Parts: sequence; structure tokens; C-alpha cells
Amino acid sequence: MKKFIYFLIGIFILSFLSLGYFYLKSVNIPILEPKGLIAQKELDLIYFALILALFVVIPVFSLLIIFLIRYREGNKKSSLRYNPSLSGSKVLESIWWVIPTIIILILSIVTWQSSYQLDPFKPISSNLKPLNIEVVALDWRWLFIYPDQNIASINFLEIPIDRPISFYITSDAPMNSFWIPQLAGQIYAMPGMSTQLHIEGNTIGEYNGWSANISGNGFSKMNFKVMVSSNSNFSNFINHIAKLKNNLSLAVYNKLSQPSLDSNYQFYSSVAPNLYNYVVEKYMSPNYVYNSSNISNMGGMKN
Amino acid sequence: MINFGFLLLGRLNLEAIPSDFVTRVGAIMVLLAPLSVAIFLTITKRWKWLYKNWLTSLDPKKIGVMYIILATIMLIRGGIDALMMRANQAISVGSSNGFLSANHYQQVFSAHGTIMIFFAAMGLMFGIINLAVPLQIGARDVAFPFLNAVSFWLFSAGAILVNLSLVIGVFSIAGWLAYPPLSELKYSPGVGVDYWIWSLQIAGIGSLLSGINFIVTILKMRTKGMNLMKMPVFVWSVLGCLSLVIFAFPILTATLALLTLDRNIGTHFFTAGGGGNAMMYVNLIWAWGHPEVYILVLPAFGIFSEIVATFSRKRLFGYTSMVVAIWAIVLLSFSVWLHHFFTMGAGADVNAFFGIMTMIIAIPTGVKIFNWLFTMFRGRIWLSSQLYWFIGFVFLFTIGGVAGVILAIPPADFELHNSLFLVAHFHTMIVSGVLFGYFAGISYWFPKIFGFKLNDYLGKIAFWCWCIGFILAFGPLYILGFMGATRRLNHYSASLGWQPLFIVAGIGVLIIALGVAVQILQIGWSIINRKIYQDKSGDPWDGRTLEWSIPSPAPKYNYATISVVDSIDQFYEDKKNKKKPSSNYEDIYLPKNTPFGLLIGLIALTFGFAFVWQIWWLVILSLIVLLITLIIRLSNQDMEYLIPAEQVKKMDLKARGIN
Repeated sequence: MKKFIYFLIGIFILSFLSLGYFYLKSVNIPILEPKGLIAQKELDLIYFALILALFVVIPVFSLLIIFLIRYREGNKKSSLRYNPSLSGSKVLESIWWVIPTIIILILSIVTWQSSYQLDPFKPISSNLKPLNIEVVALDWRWLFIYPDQNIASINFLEIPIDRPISFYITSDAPMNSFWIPQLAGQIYAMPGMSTQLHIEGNTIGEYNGWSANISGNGFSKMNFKVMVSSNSNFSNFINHIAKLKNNLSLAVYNKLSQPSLDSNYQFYSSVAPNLYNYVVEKYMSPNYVYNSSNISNMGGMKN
Repeated sequence: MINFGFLLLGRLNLEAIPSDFVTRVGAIMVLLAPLSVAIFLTITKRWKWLYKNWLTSLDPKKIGVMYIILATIMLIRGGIDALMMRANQAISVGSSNGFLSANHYQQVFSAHGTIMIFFAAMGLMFGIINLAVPLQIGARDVAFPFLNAVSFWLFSAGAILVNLSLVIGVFSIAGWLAYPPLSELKYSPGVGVDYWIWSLQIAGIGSLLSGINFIVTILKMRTKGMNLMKMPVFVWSVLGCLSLVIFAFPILTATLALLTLDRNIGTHFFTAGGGGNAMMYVNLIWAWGHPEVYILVLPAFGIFSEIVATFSRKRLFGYTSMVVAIWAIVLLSFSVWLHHFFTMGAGADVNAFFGIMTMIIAIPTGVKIFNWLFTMFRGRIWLSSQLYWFIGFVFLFTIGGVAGVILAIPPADFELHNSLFLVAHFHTMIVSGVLFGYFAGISYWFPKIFGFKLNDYLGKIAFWCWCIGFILAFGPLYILGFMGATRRLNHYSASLGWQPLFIVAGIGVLIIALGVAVQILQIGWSIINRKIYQDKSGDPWDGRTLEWSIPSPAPKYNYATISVVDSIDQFYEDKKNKKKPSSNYEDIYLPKNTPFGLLIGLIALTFGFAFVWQIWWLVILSLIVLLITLIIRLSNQDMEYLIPAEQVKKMDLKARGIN
């Protein structure tokens, strides 16, 4: 009877696991399928840490199982092995102070180097000039301004393949987090601050972007699409938007920045000059006035 | 024109009563629970008993039991929140919007986090500290018995205030740590964040007072011969934990006070606007918040140290290593807080420093795990339910630790931060590291407090429910994190393919709920059959530390005669050497019962409620009443009563079954 029950449990677990396997094969797992330079390197780090951690996990699990079997009261030999006065061992204790320390030392070196190498504020070295994009988190949608092309969009981002992108990110709403899992890790978007993120998309395709920090009622709908497209398609996109005759003036922006659950794409063929700086700087003083020619630094967070 | 309505009732009006169906059900449940208890007490004529024996008691064992009961109720409340979240996420896909509105969903997860950390976990922790610490150090009481009662009643006031938000008004929508600017007046103008602030503020002051109380108790009231290096490891871990409490909780108090000023008198500490800096808040709250994690986990580590040694029937392996590891964790835990926001853009050097410090803290934790494992080495392991919790803990905590090491590398964290992977990680740490430890601790010391054991078989079933439920509930969350699912989503698109995982996670939570039900059944069953489970010897586990040398249930004075200690596992040595307990009886002074703790809790509750609703006259009045109450209590000189040596002897012999 007992054997039969174990058999049933085994069958159940096996079928559950195989179901899980086929499910996982059928879905998209963005972080394990990076499509950009930065996301790829970040994934490599995840794997590296995982493998190094196994050097501790495997001994812990094996010791736990072995000791439970060998020294269990029901085990007939356990009373022969019993040694109640054993209360420590300098050699053994040194081993588990020293070996984890060595593992952590290796990890620390990797951490130190990768923190610099993958610092979100660090521009990607490339022959191509980076494309600048200014990102403003609103309640509850994302505004993307292409300052050099003088166009803007809501919840839709198109970027050319293999070209470094420099994002300047702020918020005109509560704190948000700007995240495109398949292209790069996230960085916070904060009012009155300007953070940066540098990415490169290396595969043509359509990817999901998220706000990863709770910001109120519309948080779950605060998603955006990212298109990585060929250079010619990207130029077509810019030209197409530029012809729309839809200006993002300060008045339009002020309306746009009001809380709204409308998450539809919108496009603007021109943008009020210096709008991004205005959004960052207006939090510094209550009487801040928009000035189209105001050349100022990029807010509080310059690295 | 003076607004008399506002003067009298502040912001309070009829709109504060919940209008939607789900909240109404919740409100009714919150009201029904105490009401049914009240009816039960009236029918069984137990009000006087409750008041005399429990509500006014200064006995740390009774205060400990009250902590644990209240924390269990809070655990169930937080668990219902968890069930609602998972149920909503399982069905809120594509065109369906679930049964919770976005706003309500945010209140639910904010309440879940707040309640579980501050009122479930902290409550269980202080409960166990109250039960076990005085007993383990051979003391008859804590250093400041009245202060201890005040701590408990402030904790209760906070817990009641949190639940009151369900009946009158709303709760915070800003998550369990209420990051500004979302928690500022501009985005949260209602009473929700104020409820959050004041329930934490009041309970937090209780925690701080309790921290001071037990540090003094441990440092000054140990029995003869018990120098620091002969203390049980649980006491060491509590000393470490409470050192963190007294350094970390003032940060919380100050941060909440600054947020209160922002919200009430228009300062700009953390606002977006007027030059305020929300990043300051995030730093401050985590400078408290990270040590808080270790505050919760250290006592659980201590419990595991006691349990592994007892049930392996062996001395703890590497006592000195364990003590060093505890203090390494205590010191390091103040230098890792930034890893909660690598993604804020602090720069590579700062991120790298905090990442490395975070990894270093894994070393003493790993040392502790190996020491526990080698405590079992060449032991004679009694596989009781307490040890089951320990085994589950090692298994899950190690997995959670791997996830933690991954998250400690800043660039890897950029991809996983704020995702469900993170949620799965910290739940693994807190459920296995904290809750499993406390469950084990409660069933370990239960016979010492009540005089009978808990049914072990039901304990094991509860363990399997928790363990399997946990894997099903949080395994999918690890995967969902890799799929890019962020935390706190109340709706997602069907094309993402996440729904099956959310459904499995929901089933997992249901199995955990079943585990809780079995635990309640376990306690009920054991109470009904307490004759069978009676602990006549006072030493049901073949224990090693002092508390097992006295009869069960422990008498109100704990120790009839003073124990003398000259080794780590003193009681084990005494049993080996067949040493008889001393018969050197003496007069014992114990604190008299007092209603003042309860009174101060009620005043604090009134104060908090009045502040939330801006009923300013009541705020001022309650402060004045508090001052008067304190003066009356502190002028009272007649606070102790005497049990003469003769009577102690009689009671002791009777408890030991010698006549």
C-alpha cells in the first residue's frame, strides 16, 4: 500500500514537471533571451553567480541528506557513531570560514568590474554616434522625446539596430522604473532627477517595456513597445512622424502630464524646445518658469 | 466662518465607511472577529478572568503568549490579503479585470507587507523572546516588567489601527515602505498613508522600548555563573537582534516623523517639488529596513541553534564561531542597505561597494549553516516536527540565498529588481528563515509555558503543507521574474502567457492556508487532549539549557531557587552528573498586575486615530491624558508583592510532584 502511494506521488510529480517543461518551452522568457548587448552581459553575470553559488549549495544539500540518513535515531548504526561531546573542530570551522570567503572574493572582483563595465550611466563605446532619447514617466504612460530628430511619442519607442542609444530618464509623476528586459536592466525614473541608461539593440524585433515601480492606479497599464528596426525602417519612422503636424507644445504637455489611463500610442512631429530640462528643473523651485532657450545642466544626477 | 464639523470630527465623515462589496466583507470580518470573542467571553463569564490573568499581567510569559496570539491573528489577516492578491492575479488577464480595482489591489498588497513584517513576524518574534529569554538566562523576570507591558500594548494599538483602516477609511496604496512622492500629499491625499505612518510609529516605539528592556535583561539579569560566553546561542542571537533594534528603529521613527511633517505642515523633506529629495527617504527607510530583516532572522537562527542541538542530542557545533557569526551579521547588516536600490543610479563605485558588502554577509550566514549541519554529525537525530522545520529551512534558505547572491551583483540586479524574482527571493528568506524558525520555536517551548506538548504528527502535516505550498507558490514567481513580470501588477496581457504560473502560485497559497489550518487544528487538538500530551517531567525533549530544569508549566516566578551555571549546556551536565536541584529557597518579589499598560495602549490608539483623521482636539487631549497616566503610574510606589520562602518551597515541591 505504502509503495503504491509513493508510486502515485512519483507519477504525479513527473507529470507535473513534464507539463512544466512543455509550458516553459512554449512561452517567451525575456531575460533568458536577451536581444541586446547589455542584457546579454547581465544574463552572463546571472549564470556566473549561479554556477559559483552551486559550490556552496551542493555541499550543503548533500551533507544535509547524508547526515539525516546516517545519524537518524532509527538508523541502527547511529548509536555506534554517536559522540555527544563533539562540540567543534578548528580545522572544519576554518574550512567553512575560508572557502566561502574565497568564493565571495572571486564574486567581489567580478562585482567590482561589472559594476563599472555595466554602469547604466556609462556610454557604450561604438563607431556610431549614439541616438539620444529623453524619457519622461507620466501618470501613467511613457513619453519619449527624440531631441535631435525633434519628434516625440507616447508608449512607443523605435530604435535603430546596432546603434548605441542614450536614454535620459526622468519622471513627472511618482517614482517609476524604466525597464526593457530583453535589451537592458532597469533604472529609476524620478521627478527632479535625470538618470541615464545606455543600451544597444542587436536583433530586429518588437519587445516589451515596463514600469517596474508602483506608481498608482494606472501602474499595470504603464507598458510600452520597443521596436528595434533596420536603419532604413528607422529613418522611415522618423520621416513619417515628422510629417504628422502634431506639435507637443508646453500646453499639450501639461495636459498630457495629467493622470490618465489612456495608454494608446501617440506621436508628435515637433516638440517644445528644452521640454525635458523644464520637466526636470521645475521641481527645484516652486516658481520655475519654462524657458525655451534655457541651457542648463541635466538636473541633479550627473555622473 | 469656522467649520465646526472639521473642528469636531476632522476629516471623518460618513464617506469613510467602505462602499464597495469586497471591502465591506473585509470590514465585517474585522468587526465580527472581536465581537464573537466578546460574546464568547460574556457567555462563559470570562471577562474578569481575562482582565485579571491576562490583560493586566506583567508576567513576560503571559505577555509573550498574548504577543503570539495577536501575531497569529495578524498572520491570518496578512494571509487573506495574499490569497486575494493571487486570486486576483489568476483571473485578471486580458479583458477581465479581476475582482479588485487597481486602487483596492494596491491597498491589499501594501497592507499585506506592512502587516506581515510589523505585526505578524515582529509579534511572533517578541512573543518568543518574552517566553524564552528570561527562562534561558535563569531570571525570574525581565528588567522592566511594566515597560514590557507598555511595549505589548503599543504593539497592539498599532495592530488595531492597521485593521481599523479596513472599517473606517482606506489604507495606503504606496507599498509596504511608502516611497515618496507616491506617499506624499500630492499623490496620496487621503488617510491611507496616515494610517500606515501611525500604526508603524506606535508599534515601532513599542519595539524600541522592548529592545532596550531585553538588552538590559540579558546584560544584567543572567543567573549566577552565566557569563556571556556561557549564554545559550538563542540568547546571543536575541542580544544581536535587539542591538539592531535599538540602532535601527530610531531611524524608522525619525523617517516617519519627517514624512508626517511633509504631509501635515507642508515641509519638503521628501516631496517632488520645493527641492525635496525622495532619494533621501529611500536611503533612510532602508537604513532601517535592511537591519530589520536581520532583526527578524537572527532570533530564528538562535531557535534553530537550540533545536538542532537538542534534537541531535549533541552540543552545538562551533559555539564560538556561532557567536562571532551573529556579531558579524549584526555589524555588516548596517552596511548593505543600498542593495535595495542599485537601480536608483548611485554610480558604479557606490553600487559595487554595497554589492560586495552584501556578499560578505553571506559568509557568516554560510558558517552558521555548516555549524548546524555538523551539529547533526555523529549525533542521534530525533526527527520531530521541530527538526522538520529546520530541514525545510536549510533547503529553502539555501535556494533563497543563491537568488540573493545573484541579486547582490548590481548589473544582474538591474534585470531582476522589482520583478517577481525579487518577491520570490525575499519571501523565501522570510518564510523559511523567519516563520519556519518561529513555528519551530513555538512548538519547542510550548510545553514549558502550558505544561503539555503539541501533537507532533499534525505538526509534521502542517510542515508538509507549508513546504509544498511554498514551493508551488513561489517557484512560479522565480520563473515569472525571468519572464519580465514586475511585482504589484493587478492586470496583465493574456499574450504574455503568464496565467498558468499565477494559477499554480495561487494553488500554492491555498496549500499554505491549509497548513495554517492544520496548525490551528494542532493547537486545538492538543488542548482538548492535553492530558495525553502532558509534560510531567518538565523536560520533554531531553533539553540542554536551564529552562528545562524547572517544572512545566513554568511557575510565575520561573525559578524557585537560583541556578548556578559553569558550562554552556548546564542542564545537560547536571543531568549527566545526577545533580539535584538546590533547596535554597528565598523570598521572591514579583510585580503586581496593573491596568496601566492597557490604558497607555488605548490612549496611543486614540491618539493615532485622531491624528489620522486630523481631529486635533482629541490629539491634544490624548497627549494630556497620557502625561497624567504616566505621572500617576510613576508615583505609585506599591508595585511589587512578596511570596515568602516557605510558600515558594511548598509551591515548588508541589509542582515537582514531591509532597
